[in-house]
Amino acid sequence: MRLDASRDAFTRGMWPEGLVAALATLAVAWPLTDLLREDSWFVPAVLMVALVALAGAIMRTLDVPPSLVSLGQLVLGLVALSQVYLRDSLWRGLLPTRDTLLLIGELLREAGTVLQTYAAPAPTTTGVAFLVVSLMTLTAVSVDSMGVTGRAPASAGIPLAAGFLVSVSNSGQAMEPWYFAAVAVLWLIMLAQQGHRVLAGWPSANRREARGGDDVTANVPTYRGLAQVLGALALLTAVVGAAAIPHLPPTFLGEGLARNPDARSAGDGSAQVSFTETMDPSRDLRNQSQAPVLTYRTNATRLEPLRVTATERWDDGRWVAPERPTSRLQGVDEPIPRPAGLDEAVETAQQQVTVTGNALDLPHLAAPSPLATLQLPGDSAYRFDPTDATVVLQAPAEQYTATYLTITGADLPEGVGDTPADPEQFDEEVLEVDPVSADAVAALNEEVVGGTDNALQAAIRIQNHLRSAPYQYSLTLAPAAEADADDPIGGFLETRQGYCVQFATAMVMMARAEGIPARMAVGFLPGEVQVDGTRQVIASDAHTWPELWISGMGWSRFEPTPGIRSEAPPVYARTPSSTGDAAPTTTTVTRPAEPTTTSAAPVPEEDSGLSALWPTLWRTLLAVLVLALLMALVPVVGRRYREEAVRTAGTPVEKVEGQWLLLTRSLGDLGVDEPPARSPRDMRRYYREHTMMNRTGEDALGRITTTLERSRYAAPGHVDDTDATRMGDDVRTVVEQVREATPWNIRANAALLPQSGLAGVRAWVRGAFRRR
Amino acid sequence: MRSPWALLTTRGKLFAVVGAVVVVAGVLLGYEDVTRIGLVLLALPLLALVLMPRRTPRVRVERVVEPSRLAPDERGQVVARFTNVGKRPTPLYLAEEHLDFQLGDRPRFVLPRLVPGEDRRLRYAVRSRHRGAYPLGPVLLRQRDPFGLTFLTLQLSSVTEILVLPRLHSLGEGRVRGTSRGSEGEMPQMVALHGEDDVSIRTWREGDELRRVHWPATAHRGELMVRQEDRPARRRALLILDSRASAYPGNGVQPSYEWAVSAIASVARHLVADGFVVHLLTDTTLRDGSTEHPVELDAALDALARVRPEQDSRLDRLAAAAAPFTTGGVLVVAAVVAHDEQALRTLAAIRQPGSRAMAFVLDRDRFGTRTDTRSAARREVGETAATAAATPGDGDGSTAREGVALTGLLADSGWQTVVVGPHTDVGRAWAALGSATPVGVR
Repeated sequence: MRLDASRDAFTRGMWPEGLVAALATLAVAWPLTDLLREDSWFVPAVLMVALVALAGAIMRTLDVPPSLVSLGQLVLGLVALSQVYLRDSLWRGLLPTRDTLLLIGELLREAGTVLQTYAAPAPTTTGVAFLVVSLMTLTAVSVDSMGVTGRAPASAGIPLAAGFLVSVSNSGQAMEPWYFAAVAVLWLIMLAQQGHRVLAGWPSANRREARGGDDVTANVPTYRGLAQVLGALALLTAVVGAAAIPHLPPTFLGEGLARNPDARSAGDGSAQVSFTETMDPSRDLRNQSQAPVLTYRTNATRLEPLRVTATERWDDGRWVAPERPTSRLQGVDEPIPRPAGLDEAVETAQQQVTVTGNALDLPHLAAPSPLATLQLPGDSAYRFDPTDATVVLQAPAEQYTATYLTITGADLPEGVGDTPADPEQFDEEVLEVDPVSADAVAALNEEVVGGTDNALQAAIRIQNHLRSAPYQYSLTLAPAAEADADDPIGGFLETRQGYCVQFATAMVMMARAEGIPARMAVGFLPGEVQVDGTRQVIASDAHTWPELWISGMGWSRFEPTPGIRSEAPPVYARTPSSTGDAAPTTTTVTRPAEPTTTSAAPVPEEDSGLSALWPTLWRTLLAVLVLALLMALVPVVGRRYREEAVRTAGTPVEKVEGQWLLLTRSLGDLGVDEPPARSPRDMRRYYREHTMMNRTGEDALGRITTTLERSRYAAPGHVDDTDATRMGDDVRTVVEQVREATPWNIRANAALLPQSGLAGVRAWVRGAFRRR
Repeated sequence: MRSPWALLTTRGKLFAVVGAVVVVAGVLLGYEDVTRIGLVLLALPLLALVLMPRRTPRVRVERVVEPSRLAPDERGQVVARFTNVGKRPTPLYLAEEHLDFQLGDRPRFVLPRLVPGEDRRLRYAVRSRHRGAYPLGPVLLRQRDPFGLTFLTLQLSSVTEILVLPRLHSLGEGRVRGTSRGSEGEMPQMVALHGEDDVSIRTWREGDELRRVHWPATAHRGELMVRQEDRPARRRALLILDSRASAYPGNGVQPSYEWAVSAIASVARHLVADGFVVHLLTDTTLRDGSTEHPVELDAALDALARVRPEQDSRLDRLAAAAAPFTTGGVLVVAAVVAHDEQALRTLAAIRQPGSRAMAFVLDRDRFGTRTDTRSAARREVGETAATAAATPGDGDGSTAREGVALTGLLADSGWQTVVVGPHTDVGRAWAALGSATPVGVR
C-alpha cells in the first residue's frame, strides 16, 4: 500500500519529464559556449536549471497546485540568482533593496555594452554571466511550468525556440546542426513523453480480469519505434531541407554578438556605424548606405580626418573599446586643454569645422584632432577625456562647431622626437606589444627603422614602409590575418594585405616595439564634397589610424594605410626622401571597392530602421486597440439585443413576449439553443431537458411558460403588468440557474462574446443597409 | 476519403501552420536555424500523416459471454478475442469496447500491434442492474501518433448481444386456482380449442393402436388417421403487459415499467412451473404474431428482457388481441397502469363472466417522480383496489382523483386486482392478488 502511494507520488512528480525539460533548457544554452569566451556562466547556469527542475519535481511530488509550483520555482530561482550575483546589495543577505535594482541595472547595462561591442566570442563579464544565467533560469522555469507542470510540452517549445534564437540571431551563418538537433530531440522527447502518458493512462485501471499472456494488458506497448522514426525523419528533413532551401542574406534586427559582416541590418538604411564600439570599421567599410553620418563645412585647405575616439587596449587579436570611467572625465563643458606635449615652438593654426548634420550615436562626437574648442547647441553638453582626447557627448547634438589645431609647416623645430618617451608617464598598455607578434614586429623594425633614435623619424619610416609597394589595401583578408587567427599582426605583415585596421595596428605595434607610445584612433575620412560645398561623411568613410606620442608634438596622427581609402600623411610625417616611394604605391593600389561578399545587394524597402518600424507598430497597436474596443462593444450590443423587445414593449402582452425573447436569447448565449416554435408547454419541456436547474428554477420556468401560454392563447386582458414583472424576475432566476450550471468557458464566452451580441451586430448591419 | 487536414489534431494543425510561417520567415530573414525550426514543425504533422495507416484494420472480434444470459446484478464474464485476419500488421490503437452504460464502465485498452494471424484477448466483466438486450461492441479504435499530431477514430463493427433478463421474484408455492365458466375448483381439461388443440385427429404412426383409427377421417383423407385421445390437457394463461410509454411516469429507466415487466416475468415462471401453457401478449408479440403460440419460459423471458415502452402502444389493441383467448376461458394476468379510463374500460371488458382475470394495477401517482417515499411506504402491499382507492397521491390534485378512480376500474369489472406502488413486493402482490375477491364471481 505504502509502496503504491510512493509510486503514485513519484509518477505525480514527473521526474523524468522534469529531467528532460532541464536538459532541453541546457541544450538551448549550448551555442553560447561558442559565443562567450569564458565558461564562468556555465556552472551557475547548470546549477540554477537543476535547482528549478528539482524544486518543480519535489513540489509536484508533494501535490502542490500547479500554479504554486511555477510560482515557487520562479521565487526560488530569483532568490538563488540574487544570492549568487546580487548578494552584496541584499538587506541582511536576504531581501532585495533599492541597491539591488541599481545593481541589476548596472549589470545589465554592462552586459549590453559587452554584447554590442564585442564580436564573438565575447568576454564573460559578471554582467554577461548574470544576464545569461538569469535568462536560463527564466527559460528553465517557463519550460518546466509549461512542459511538465502544465503538461503542454508543445508550448514549452516557445521558450525553447526563443532562447535558441537568441544565440542564432546574431551569427547569420547557420550554426552547426547538432546545436539545433540537441534542442529539437529533447523537445520531441518531451512531446513523446506526453504521448506515452496518454497511452499509459488509456487502459481502464485495475481490471481484475486481465490475466494471461495473450491478454491485451499483458505488456502495454509503446510508441517508441514510431516516435524514433518520426522524430528522426523530421529532424533530418529540417537539417537537410534548411540547407537545401536558398535563403536571403540574413537581416539583423539588433546589435549584438557575432555579427556577420556580410549581413544586412535593419538599421542599414540609416547612417549607423558600428566601429565606434567595435573598433573595427570593416563592416562599415562595406556598408552600401549613402545616408550621411555627418554633414559639415570647413574653411580648412587641408582636410583632416574626423576623430571619434581612440584605444590603447589590444586584446586577443583585436582592439577593445576603452573603458571610460566618469572619474577620468573633465567637468561638463569645461574648456578643452591645450594638447599635452605640443611644444609652443611648433607652428600651428586653428581651423574650424561646422557640422550641420550629425547621425552619430551618443556619446560619440566626430571632430578633427587635436581639438581646441567645441561649441554645442544649448541643449547639449560634453565632457572631455584628456587621456585619449575624446569628447564624450552628454546629450544629442545635431549641429556643432569645433576648432582644432593643425601643424602648418613641414619645418618642425629642432629636437622634436629626440627625447624618448618616459614609460613612467604612460599607461603600460600604450607600450605593450602583442607577445605573439613581438618577434615578427621586432624583425621588421630591424629592417625598417634601422639605427635612428629620433622617434619622429622612426615613425615616418614605419609609415612609409607600410605605404610602400608590396602592401596592398584590401577588405578581404588572408586567413592568417583574420582577427581570430593566432597572430593577426604577424599574418598581416607576412601577407601584406589588409585595410586600415591592419595597417594602423601594424604601425602601432611597430612603434611600441621601438619604445614610442602608440594608440589606435578611429574616426572618419573627410568625406566627399557636395554641390553645395558641404562635405558628407557616410558609413563607409570609417577609418582608423595610429597616434604616436612624439616628444615636442604630443600625440600625433600618422597615416600608414595606402591607397584611395586613406589620406595623405600629415605634413610633418612626410619626408622628401619618402615621397618618391609613396607616390607610386598610391597609384598601384587597387581599390577593392566592391568586395565580392557584398554581392547580395540589400533588398530595397525591405529593411527599414527601427524608426521606420514605429509607424507600423503604432498602426498595429492602434488596430489592436480598435479591435479590442469593438470586441468590448459586443457584450453591450448583446445586452441591448436581448432586452430589445422588453424595452420597446407597451402592452402587457408585448412585455410578456419581450421577456420570453430575453429568456431565449439569454439562454442562447449560454449554449442552449432556441426551442423549436411549439406550444409553450413543449418549449418548457425542451428547456427542462436541455438545462440543469433545481426546483426553484423549474418552478420559475413553469410560471414563465404558463404566463406565456395565457398571454398567447387566453382571451385578451388575462395578463397584466404584474404578470410581466413577475415573469421578468422568473426569467432572471432561470438564466441565473442555467448560468451557474454552465461550464466556465461557456460562461466566459457568454460574458465576453455573446451570440446575442453578434446577432445584434448582424441585425444592426442589416437594418442599416435596408434603411439605405 | 477524409481530407488529411481533418485528421490532424489542433496541435497538428497549429504545427503545420506555424511551421510554414516560420519557414517563410526563416528564408526571408535569412536564418537557416529559424528555417530548421519551421521545417521540424512542418515535417512532424506531414510525416505523421504519411506514416499513419488510415484504413480500418482487418481485425476479427469474437466475444464469448459467460453466462450467456444474465440476471440483473449478476456478473458476466466477457472474453473478446481480437485476431488480425489481414495481411498487414495493425498499428497501435487506443481501443474502447462500446458498452451500454448500464453494463458498467466501458473497458478501455491498448490494442497492441498485431502481426497477421496474431490474436489478443480482452477480458472484462459486465453487470447490469436493469434488464434489457445490450450490445457488446462495436470497438472504437483511436489512432494517434507519438507526438499527438494526428487523430483518427475507427470502428470494428462486430457486435455481440448480451441479454439481461427481468428480475424474477419468487411467488410462493401456492397453486393457482383454476377458474373458468362454471367451475370454482380445478380447471377442467380443455380440449379442442384454437390452434394446435384442434388437431385431435392425426395421421397414423407406427405403434398407434388400430382401435384408435378414426375411420370417417381415414375415408375422407385416404390415409390412416387416428384419434388423439390421450393429449394432456393444459391449463392456459395469457399474460398481458401494458407498454404505453405515456402511461408510465418518469423517463429513462422507468421503475414502474420495470416493476410491471418483472411481475409478468415472475408470473410467467410461476405459471410454467405450475404446468400452465403461457401466452405472452405485448405489443412486440402482437406484431410478430407470436402471441398465438404458447411460449417456452426462456423465450418468454427473452421477449420480456427486450420489451420496451412504446409511444404508440395502445391498450385497446391488446384487449382486442386478448379476446379470442378469453372466450376460451384462459387465466388472464395483466400488468397495467391506471391511466386513460377509456382504454382501461376496453381492457376490463375482455374478462368473460365467470372466468378469472387478475391485474397488477400500477398506481401512477405512487410511481410518480415526486412521490414522497415515506407516504409510499405506508401504502404497502396488500392494499387491494378497494382500500387503495381512498389514498390520494400528492401530485396534482386532479391527477390523483383520476388515478384513484382508475385503479378501481378493473376491480369493478370483476378483475382480481392489486394496486401496487414502487415498494410493493411482487411476491406479496401476487399473494394479495390470489386472495382478492373477484367482484364478478360473486
